[in-house]
Amino acid sequence: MFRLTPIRAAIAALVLAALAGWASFGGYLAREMVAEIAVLAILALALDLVAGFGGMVSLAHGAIMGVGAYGYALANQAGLPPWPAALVGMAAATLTGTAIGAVSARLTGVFFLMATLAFGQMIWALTFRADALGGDNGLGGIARPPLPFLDSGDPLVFALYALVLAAGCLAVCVAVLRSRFGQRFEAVHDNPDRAAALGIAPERIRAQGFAISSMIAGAAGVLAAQHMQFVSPELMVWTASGEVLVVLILGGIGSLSGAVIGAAGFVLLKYWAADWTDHWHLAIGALLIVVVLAGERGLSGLLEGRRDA
Amino acid sequence: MLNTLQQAALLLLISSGLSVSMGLMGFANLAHGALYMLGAYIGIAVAAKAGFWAALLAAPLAVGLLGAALYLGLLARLRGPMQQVLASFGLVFIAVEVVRILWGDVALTLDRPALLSGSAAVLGVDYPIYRLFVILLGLVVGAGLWMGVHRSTLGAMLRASVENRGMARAIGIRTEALFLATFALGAALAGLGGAVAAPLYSANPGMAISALIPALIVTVIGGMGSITGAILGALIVAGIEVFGAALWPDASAVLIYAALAATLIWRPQGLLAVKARR
Amino acid sequence: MLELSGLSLGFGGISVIRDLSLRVAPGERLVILGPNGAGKTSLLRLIAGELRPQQGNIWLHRRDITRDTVPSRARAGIGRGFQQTSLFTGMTLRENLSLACDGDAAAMEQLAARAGLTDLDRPVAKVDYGTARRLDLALALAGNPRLLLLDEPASGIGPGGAVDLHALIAALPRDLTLVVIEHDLDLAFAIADRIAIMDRGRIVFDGAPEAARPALKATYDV
Repeated sequence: MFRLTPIRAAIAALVLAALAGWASFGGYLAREMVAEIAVLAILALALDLVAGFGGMVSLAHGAIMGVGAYGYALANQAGLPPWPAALVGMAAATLTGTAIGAVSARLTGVFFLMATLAFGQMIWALTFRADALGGDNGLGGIARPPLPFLDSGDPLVFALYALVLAAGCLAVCVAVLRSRFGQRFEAVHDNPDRAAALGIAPERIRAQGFAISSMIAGAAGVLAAQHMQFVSPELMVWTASGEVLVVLILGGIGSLSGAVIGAAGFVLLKYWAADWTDHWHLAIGALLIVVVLAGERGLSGLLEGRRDA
Repeated sequence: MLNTLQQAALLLLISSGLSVSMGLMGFANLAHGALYMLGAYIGIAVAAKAGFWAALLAAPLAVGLLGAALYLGLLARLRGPMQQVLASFGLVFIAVEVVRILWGDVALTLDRPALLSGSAAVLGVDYPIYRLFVILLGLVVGAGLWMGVHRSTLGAMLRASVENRGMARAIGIRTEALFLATFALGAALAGLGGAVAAPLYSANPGMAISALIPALIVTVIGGMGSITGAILGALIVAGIEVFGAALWPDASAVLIYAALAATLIWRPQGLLAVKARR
Repeated sequence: MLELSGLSLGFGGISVIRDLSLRVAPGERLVILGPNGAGKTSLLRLIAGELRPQQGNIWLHRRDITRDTVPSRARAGIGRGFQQTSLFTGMTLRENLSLACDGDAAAMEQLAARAGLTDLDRPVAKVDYGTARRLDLALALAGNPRLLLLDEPASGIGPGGAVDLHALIAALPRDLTLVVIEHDLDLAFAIADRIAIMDRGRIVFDGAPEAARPALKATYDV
């Protein structure tokens, strides 16, 4: 069951603060990377909510995030100002997740994984084929949100704005898990038969958890669209979802702080390794296997020490 | 029609391996596409030195041995389907990079052997002989597997081991050795599929991912662990691919996933599952 | 209170429950006895909704609940204890109880006291089996059910612990209806108002405890 231990809170706060500091004193590239980390962290948080605490490992989260990004882009193109358009994007992602969750929630384990793979790929294929969505060229010219007294076009302002959003999503996840709903969500994962005997309907709870997670994934999509000012179907392919899963595993699944660390570590490694080798996925693959063999506690598990979570 | 058959035969070659490891052993192996890719590359490399027929033999052998080594060194230690999914996903990353390092990013092709080039008239249409060969091979492998699983002692022992590992062990079945052999067989089939596919489609590092999804779909639609199901699944998926692409190109990609989703919701165990399993 | 009429259940040609009918009055304490494989646990699972009968109906308070799901039956007032304890093993005792009481702190304290549970911040994965048994009973009692289904509530904890647990069950309010499966005859007679003996999917005896002894001899061949 989720416990926001002081060490977890400290780790997450420290990482976010370090990223803010880095964005402030680093150059243009640092600021772009921090924004990218924030997007990935939010998506990983969304996935951690369902996979880490509900046992629902989803390969549709990239697609759901993409729906959020496209929703924002289309609403914005239709003339809606950025903030209402962001709500449209999140609502679209939530609706998509609600639909996927409603039909997939009765499946478990690998079957659930396959179902989310199928739905995610359906969304990707539809987007890829739809001329109204720009096909595989995607959509460009997406606006960033206006901020009071600040210019969101400035990379530093945007990086900090993205970090604030990531921190906000982390707080939302903590609140969800601490709520009565969160307890039930974890209970249904822990022992569905007992939960049912207590009057808790496992499928409904799982579907609701998936919808909440999709809303957060939608927020990641909106932020991604604002950051790149461009959306393409690439966001939605299942390998994108698989990559987020890797981020989560490397960071440490089921701890929330692991999502943030994993995202930071992954993006940093990507840029750092890209400087001298084209084959950095080799290291990621090996690392993934090592972490899985070591018991899936990832970086955050390493930082927390060997205590029982 | 012939295209559907040929596509189905190729899909069957790839997915029968997955059906063996995932269906019979319950092993969710995302690296199956990577084994298929390795089969294609090894096939091309061997064919360059020793010709097509040697490649057709060497590719499944090499990939089967690799599968056995992976199983012993890594996969047998994993517990639970999620660990298997994640670790085999890690293997995909590694395999793709290794192939890129050894063979580069450029797509490679393999020439058809002289014996099988040209075309023949079938049902009044000219059809490439090589594709007929693929259909034939698919039939042979399908029939052989069906016999092996359903009609041999070894198959019965395997089914018993999957059903109840402890009990199988208690009656003297060496389950670990059996699983090892099964996994190696699944890998060898993937290798064979890769080598056979190489003359039809070029080999490239992307095929590790692109071949995995149809194979997974075939396995799930057909029902895990059912060879008949894998044949049926391969026919359905190939039919959707070939006819969908001709009749309704915009929707063909969506249709396959829709078929997968519908199967999972309607009959999570697949159309012809061996037994109900969660 | 509870009425079963013409229930039949089979798995692929093997009949587990055959045309079984049973009525339980409010406040009654019914103990089900019978040899292994008689279908006792299957009967309990049918009442709880974990299995669906091929034929027959189940009525709770004159409402047909045959098609209701497990959670909706639980909300209708059926509490369930499991033969092997069924707990939330990733949580502490307190978290288990709190979840069962839907966050109601007062109800939770009361429930803990009733089941004799102390030191609630222990993780469930680390408590002894006797405590796990008590927690399983507490979870079954949460939400004040009107019908309590218990499947060998004291199995696996040794004679001393079993007597304690049965004292706990015996001390439950008299208006709570009990359907209990029990192997241990002494424990069974200690709580039963009425005894039913099952054999091969049928009820072969149904009556007062004192009348049950001769029937037991016949069933168990003792």
